[in-house]
Amino acid sequence: MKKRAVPLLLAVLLLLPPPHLLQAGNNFAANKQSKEVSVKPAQEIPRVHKKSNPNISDADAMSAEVDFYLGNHENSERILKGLKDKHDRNFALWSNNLASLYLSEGRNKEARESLTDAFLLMNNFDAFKNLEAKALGITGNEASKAYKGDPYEKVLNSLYLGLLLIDEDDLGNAAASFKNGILCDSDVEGDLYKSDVAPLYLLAARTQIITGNQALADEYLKTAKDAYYLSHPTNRQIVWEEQILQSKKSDAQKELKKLLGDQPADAKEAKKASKKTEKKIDGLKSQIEALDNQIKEKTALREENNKKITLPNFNNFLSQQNNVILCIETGKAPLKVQTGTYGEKAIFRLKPYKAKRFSVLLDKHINIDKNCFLNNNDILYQAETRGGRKMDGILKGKANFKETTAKVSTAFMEMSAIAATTTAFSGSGDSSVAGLAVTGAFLVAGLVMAATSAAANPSADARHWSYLPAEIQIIPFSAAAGKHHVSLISCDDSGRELKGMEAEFDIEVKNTGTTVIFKRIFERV
Amino acid sequence: MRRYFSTFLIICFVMIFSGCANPYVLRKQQKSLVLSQDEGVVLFTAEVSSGKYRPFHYSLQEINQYKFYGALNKYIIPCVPENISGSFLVFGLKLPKGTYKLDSFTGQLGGFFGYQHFLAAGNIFDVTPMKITYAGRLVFDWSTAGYSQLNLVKDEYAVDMELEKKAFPVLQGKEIVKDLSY
Repeated sequence: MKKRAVPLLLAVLLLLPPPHLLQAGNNFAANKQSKEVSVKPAQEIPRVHKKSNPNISDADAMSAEVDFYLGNHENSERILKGLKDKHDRNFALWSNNLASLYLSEGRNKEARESLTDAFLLMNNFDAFKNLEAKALGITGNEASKAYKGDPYEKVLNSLYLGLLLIDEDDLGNAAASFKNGILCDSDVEGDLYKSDVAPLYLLAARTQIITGNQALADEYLKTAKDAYYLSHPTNRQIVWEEQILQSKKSDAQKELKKLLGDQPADAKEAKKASKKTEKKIDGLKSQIEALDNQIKEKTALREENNKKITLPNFNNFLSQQNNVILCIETGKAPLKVQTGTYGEKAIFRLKPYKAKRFSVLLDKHINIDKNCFLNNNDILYQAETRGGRKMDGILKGKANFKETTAKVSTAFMEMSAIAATTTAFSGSGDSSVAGLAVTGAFLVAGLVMAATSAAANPSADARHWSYLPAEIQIIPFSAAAGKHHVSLISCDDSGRELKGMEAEFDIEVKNTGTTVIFKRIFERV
Repeated sequence: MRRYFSTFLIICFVMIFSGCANPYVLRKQQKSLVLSQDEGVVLFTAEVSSGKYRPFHYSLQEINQYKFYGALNKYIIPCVPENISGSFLVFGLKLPKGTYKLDSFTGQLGGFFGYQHFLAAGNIFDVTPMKITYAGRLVFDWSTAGYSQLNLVKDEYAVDMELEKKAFPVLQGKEIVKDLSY
């Protein structure tokens, strides 16, 4: 029996896949812990009283996305509606995507309804709270949380919703929507990113002027200019570097505050502690000073750049005579991709697009002044500058845990193999029995660690609003009430006309209020 | 005994050569190219500045935000003789529609006395259903000992179409559109 046991153990060791392959296997096999859960949100959200289509599942969502970009909107809409009807954890994602589809077809009312559905969930902290807790665990999956969007998605949801509410003359809610967008974009250290989405401020200013609040409108206008300068392409690199320095300074300040606050009450202990911490405190103070100087240099460089930037005519946005707002959407949304050994990091990649400049002709003879165009509203910039969610640190921890347990498992397996080989050569008797016990123990420990490593789930959540454009250009202009014809000529960066990407369409301008039009330019293969 | 040995040889033969019948790879001897509504073809070439490179296989990963990370499809595609065309590498793949990331190539640099060399790619391309698309020429530059990195995706449509049609004659007469990887 003992003679057979050792070769049997050796055979088991040889046939078992090593722990690093078990890790990889977790990446290849479906994650069994991540099951579809249909839950009720904590608060009521508008429900569509239809039975969900059992034939539509998340697996169809990619097909819907491909169909959207190919122009098969009917199929895409059918799938998205079916998915939205499930009221699952991705409700806000389906709603946002559906809204983009409606906007591309000029169905403003339906888009507004979908955006509202998404807005209510994305800005509701309590909704789907039970899923949040699960995702935070070491074996929890980020993607099992309810989708509430990254800050840039909340900003865009608010921007689109606000524009559509302006179109419906619901100025109170439009103002609230823009304010929400500004707040979503504003939670960083210092004033550096007190929202850099200029359109939000401009449109907020416009609504305030219409409602008669000039003082608030002036404040929004001033901040819009600051936001425009901050987000201008010539300043972006400097702003990113400044943000990193601000972050480092903030971390150092927090550490310093902690050290200063941790002084023991007892004098003897305090004297002992102060010798140890004095050096640290001095180091931190000089670090903060150096960072301060670097930040000042960057700020000065930025202000120098601002002098060279030509501001668009912001008064065009505020003037009530410009009763039409045309929003041209171009390109494809930035793609959120998981990367790293375990997919623990999420990065954005943008598919290049050609149509960057436009000429707008009203009724075939009125050329809309290009100085009216509000450009540089690219989604990738907004997405990347808010890329670091708080969850990232925990994900890194999960990835480290997975790697460590896998390495420990490998070590146990190797020791088990060595013990088995030693036992095989030790002959029969008590030493052989002891050797078998040790081999078995290492083997079991190795398997347990391998299973633990495999169960750890550090993959980042890659869900994102993929129906967004790459860029939005906002153009206010004046037109008499009634029907008009708009001709849109698309050009590349150098101003060369792009054949096959022009658009001709009719608009209906309302008698009163502002008419908001969306036009999506697709670059189809 | 002889029967068992023959059976063993047949099994080995099947195992070795079954790997070559990869459903995704375009082949020189292929007579027809039929695409279903859910499939597309992507063509791309590669240029390795580090030297004469012979790839063994390359890996692709599906990009799909609607699937959990562990459920994403990953492909290990074997290289075939027609992938080498002079100093260029020429590839053609028939894949299900969607978005993919080309991870890396594993191969050998430097001929007979060469050594294993790894090309890190990381570019992303789309597969459009019912279309044959050209994803560009990937230019790999020396990075550090043991691997080269993707430096640039060039648009060499005219030259690369000649290479592709020579490597895969089934592409003759077919419409090939540009959709560069990024």
